[in-house]
Amino acid sequence: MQEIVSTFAEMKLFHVKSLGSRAVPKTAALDGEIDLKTRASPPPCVGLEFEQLHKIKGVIECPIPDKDIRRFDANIRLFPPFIDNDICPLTINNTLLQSCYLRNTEWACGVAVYTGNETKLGMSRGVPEPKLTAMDAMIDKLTGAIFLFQLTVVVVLGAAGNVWKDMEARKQWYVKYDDNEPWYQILVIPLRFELLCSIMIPISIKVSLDFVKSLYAKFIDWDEDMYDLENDIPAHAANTAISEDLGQVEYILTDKTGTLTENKMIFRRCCIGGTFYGNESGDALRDVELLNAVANNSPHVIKFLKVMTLCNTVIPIKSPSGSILYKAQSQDEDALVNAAANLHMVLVSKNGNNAEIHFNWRVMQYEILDILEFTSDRKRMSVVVLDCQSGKIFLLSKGADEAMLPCAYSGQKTKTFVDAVDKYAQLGLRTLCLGWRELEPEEYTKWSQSFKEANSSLNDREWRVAEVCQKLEHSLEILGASAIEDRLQDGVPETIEILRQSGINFWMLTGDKQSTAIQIALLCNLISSEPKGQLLHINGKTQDEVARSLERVLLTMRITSSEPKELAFVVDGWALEIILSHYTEAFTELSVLSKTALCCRVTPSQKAQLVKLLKSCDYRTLAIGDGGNDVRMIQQADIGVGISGREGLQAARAADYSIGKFRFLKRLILVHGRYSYNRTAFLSQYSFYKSLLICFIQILFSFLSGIAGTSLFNSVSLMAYNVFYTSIPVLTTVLDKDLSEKTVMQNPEILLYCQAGRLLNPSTFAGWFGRSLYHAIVIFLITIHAYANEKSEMEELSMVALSGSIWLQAFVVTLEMNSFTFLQLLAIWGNLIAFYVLNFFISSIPTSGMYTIMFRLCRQPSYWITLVLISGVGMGPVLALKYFRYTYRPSAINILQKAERSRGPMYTLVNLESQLRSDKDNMMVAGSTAPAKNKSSVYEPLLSDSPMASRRSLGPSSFDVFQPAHSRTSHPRNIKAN
Amino acid sequence: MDSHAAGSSSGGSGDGAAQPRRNSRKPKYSKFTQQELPACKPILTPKWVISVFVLVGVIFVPIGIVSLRASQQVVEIVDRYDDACVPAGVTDKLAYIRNDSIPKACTRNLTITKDMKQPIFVYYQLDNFYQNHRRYVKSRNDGQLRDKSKASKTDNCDPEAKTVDGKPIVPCGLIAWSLFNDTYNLIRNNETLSVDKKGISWKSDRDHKFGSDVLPMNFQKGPLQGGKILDSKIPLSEQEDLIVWMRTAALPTFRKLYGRIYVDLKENDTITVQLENNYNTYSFSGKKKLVLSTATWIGGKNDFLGLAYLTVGGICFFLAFAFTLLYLIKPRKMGDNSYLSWNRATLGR
Repeated sequence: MQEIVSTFAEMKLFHVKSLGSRAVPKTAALDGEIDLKTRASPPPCVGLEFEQLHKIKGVIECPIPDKDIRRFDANIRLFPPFIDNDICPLTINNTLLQSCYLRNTEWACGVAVYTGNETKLGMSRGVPEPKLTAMDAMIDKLTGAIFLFQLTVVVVLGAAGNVWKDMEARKQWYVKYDDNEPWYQILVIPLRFELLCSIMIPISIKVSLDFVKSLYAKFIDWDEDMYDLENDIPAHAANTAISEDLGQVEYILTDKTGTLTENKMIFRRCCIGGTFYGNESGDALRDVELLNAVANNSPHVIKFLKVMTLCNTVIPIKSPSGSILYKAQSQDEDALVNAAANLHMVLVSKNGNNAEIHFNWRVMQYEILDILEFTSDRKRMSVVVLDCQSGKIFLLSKGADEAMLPCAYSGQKTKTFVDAVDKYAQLGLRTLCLGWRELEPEEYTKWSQSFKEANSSLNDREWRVAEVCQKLEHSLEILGASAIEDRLQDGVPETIEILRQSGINFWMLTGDKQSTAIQIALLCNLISSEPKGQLLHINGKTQDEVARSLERVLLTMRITSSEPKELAFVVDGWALEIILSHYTEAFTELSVLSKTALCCRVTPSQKAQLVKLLKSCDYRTLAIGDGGNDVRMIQQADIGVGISGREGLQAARAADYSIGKFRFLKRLILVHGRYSYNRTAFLSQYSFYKSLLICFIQILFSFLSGIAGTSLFNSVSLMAYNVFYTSIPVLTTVLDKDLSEKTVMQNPEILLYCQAGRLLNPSTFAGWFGRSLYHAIVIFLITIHAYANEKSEMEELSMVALSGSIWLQAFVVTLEMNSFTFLQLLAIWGNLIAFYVLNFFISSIPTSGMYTIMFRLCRQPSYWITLVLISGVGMGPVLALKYFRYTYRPSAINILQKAERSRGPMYTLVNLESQLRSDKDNMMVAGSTAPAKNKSSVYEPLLSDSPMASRRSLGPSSFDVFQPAHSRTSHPRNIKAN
Repeated sequence: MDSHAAGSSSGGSGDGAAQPRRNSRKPKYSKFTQQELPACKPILTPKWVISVFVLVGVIFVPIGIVSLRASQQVVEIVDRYDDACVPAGVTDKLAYIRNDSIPKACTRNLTITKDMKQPIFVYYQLDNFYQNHRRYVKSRNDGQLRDKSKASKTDNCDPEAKTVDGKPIVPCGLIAWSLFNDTYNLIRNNETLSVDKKGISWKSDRDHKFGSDVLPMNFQKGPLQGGKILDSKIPLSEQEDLIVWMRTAALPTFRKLYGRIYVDLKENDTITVQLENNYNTYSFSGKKKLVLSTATWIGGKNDFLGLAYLTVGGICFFLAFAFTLLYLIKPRKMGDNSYLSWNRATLGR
């Protein structure tokens, strides 16, 4: 296989010529990770000559195809004469997956295992669950309602038409109804009305929405302010359909490492054999004591460094310039190896199983016998190495403290390490414990056998391997603990504060340990320390303990909910597991009550479960993460945001939006999400309005045409109405901005309007419905009165009514837009001119029904007078009502608009603290005055924005967590579904 | 630490590991892509809204006055004759009108209430006649009317498409079949007023919609006669009554031009109308009226526009006044943040 040839089938490698019998495929297309991975030929095939390859015979046992691209558990058995009958395990490391690119590889030879749709890629292609925004769901609901309305109209008018036909139309001899017509004639009139009303549901809405949605996505892609200069990563919207949901986010579930932090691991401190290094300077690599210890060959330090250097899966690559680059799968390992190299323990090369280390210019050779890989369940990894000089076998381990310390040999005092780890964790550092043990050769041989067996088992391989590993990892000598710093990203605390101000609740889900998580949470403003905030712990090892702990926390939550305190709870993975399987109900209540939660030591699937839980309470969730362990959470959430970080692009590929840095999230939500929501709210309701308008006119006309279902408008006009006349101006709503970005950033609370769905809900829709009915009546009545008697020619009258609708549309769009760029003005008024141009054109075709009509009309003064009258009567009340509400019942948006226009960008005086207090006051007022009326923020109309209503609706929608919840159903947000 | 820098850049652009990045993926700046197009953001200030209403009032009232005056200047004489033209003893009006053997002549006297300047338009008005009925309005074939060669094309014309023996009817369809066939003869002081029936239809219809070589064929040959029988020697483009009739009315009450009189009529002139009452509106109790009317720039007599303009103008003045009053009584400072609900409680403390 040549370089840069995409693989089509999944191959088993047999022979590879490249850097030490390894193929280095690039899997970017597969998992999004851009780092190179190494793939090796399986041991029995190592050393085969090229000429022998085609003579190989053997059997490969492989599992049925699945989509897990990280696992491949198979066996190979080669027939003589090549090999003894030994079964040899094959793993993912021996597999080239479909659509990988080979790099740094001259050629590779293999066997195709899966092809076509059975490859890992083919299997995982699947149908991704389509995401539906809350808005789309609402639009669908409204469409359904309109459909029912349409059916009612059809049935009622159909029946009325038939009655009229029998009572009156049969007397109208010129209509010539047949007296004994077949029974199905009774269906003709209803079907006619169905035809007339079919335009009631705007088909164009789908097209318009798709268009504007793709523009929203483009605006995100184009946004300079979300471009990460450092890593050259622009923001990207992979899913173009869900921008509106960004504006309606209620919960953000965030990963910690790489999301809030930079994931740029730097080895800062360590504790080796009870001695702390790096405490003063904050950088162990500059600590003179450590340097001295290294220079003096202090045995503890040497062991520690050896573990740092060898216990990993790092691959050193010599660059042409002579320096050594390390390819690491985890940033921690990278930091450790680099730190060790700085302390003169340099991993020079890894050739197959042989590792070469230079220490103070002394060369040491090791053979790596086995790698006991890291899994998130084991939380530690080990390697078994053979010291080539002394022939001794060592087990080198590193891992999380709680995974390592229990493995210490009995008698070792681990107190210092526990203290060290605690201390480091409090500083927000990531800790790893390093340990080692010398193995007896017999012990190793025995164990190696069972390890091989476990590794070649087809079922539950992972679990079996873990079990076998456990047998070896005991009686370790704990050498010390390392502390790696992972700095907070720029702007994280500010972003979190702004987003929390806008009423979004934050949950931090991390695989890290509790103390580190709390520390980071404090650093980034997620929780406040006493007395402002209180952190409630849920812990316990058994079911009972957890239950009690949960009950206690819940009780505290309920009691303190009236106090001005920021409450948050912390739960660890173990307790969470118990809770999620046994106490979901109580936990749901807790999650509703708590604005902030820290979940530590959680597995990827638990992250996804938590997202699911919040979604089941009908919250809009946004999950943000950067690593492979966040993928499931990202896919599960309503909106998945991936950070294109150092852990590869896996999360970013799976996500709906990918950004370079966490701080861009606030712009993504407050600017893009909010604008998208507002724009779509207008666009969708307007689409219904214009369709209803034309439909209402048709219905009104049917009352004057014997309820027979005559269409007032000719088919050309009807088609052009939806396609040309009304769809283009409203598309420019993508440029509409109700408030400037700056104002929104300064008043993030304004997002509540979007979260509560106050711009698109049944009551705002009722407003538009009423408006279309009103406008239809205005157009129709004025037209038939102005064009009565001798003027009542069909084509003329229909064109007058159509012109009236087009004029009104232009005014409606103008009135509802908040800002006008030249594009909007061009679209709105250009469209009106285009309407005339198009109709002049049609009117000049002799064969068309409309021949000369438009020219005739435009010469009549009464035509223009009629249209001006229609516009005046149609828009007058709308304008008056809007002005009245704007001035005397203003929504917060209106107030900010006025503030913005009257004195430019403004600065809010209140800070978060007083704001929280005020909202709690509002809550209490609301609770005491309207206890019976349950708040349902979603349907709170802008119309009823009385001071009381606005306080009730604005206040609690973000902070209703403080409302005492007597039962689950009493909680305002839970009744959203009702 | 150089390993970091190199490590992160690898794979960024192909396989060049340590190549410096030249083409940045930074989005290109433009005002459009950054959503920074200059925009004007008008808001509904009291001043603006009140002036709009005043302006609308100022424009609407004069237009209303002018339109109303124009409409008032029109002199219109309407005479309903459907009932009056049935002899007193007839109880079954339907049988009467259907019976061709009874002469349908009828005489009506009209008194001119005001001086009428020529041209005077003679209309017939039908009430409760649904020319806009779905079955009726589509019952025609434009191709056939225009083109001699398409005489046999009678799509859409059912049930008046073909004669009983299958010959195509020209002009086919219900509209043509039900052509109005009352005739009027106007006499003033024993002297016939000539009613000019030339040019009562649209010129565009005569030129392009109705062929000058299309002659009526098989018309009104069915068992039931609908309306007027066309002279089969005159091409359709000259059958102006038909052309006028075929311009269907959108409303159940409509007037159609019968002809024009190019003589001034004086106040108190008595016009004797000798009419032939042939058209059947009795089956559906529709009214038939004869209308003499002058016209102005706005058309015939129609006070609606004028009155509507005056009303709207008045309401606009009232609204402007009301809003001004409200503004003076309850002034609202522009953009006071203290109105923000989340600031209100804090400041009120």
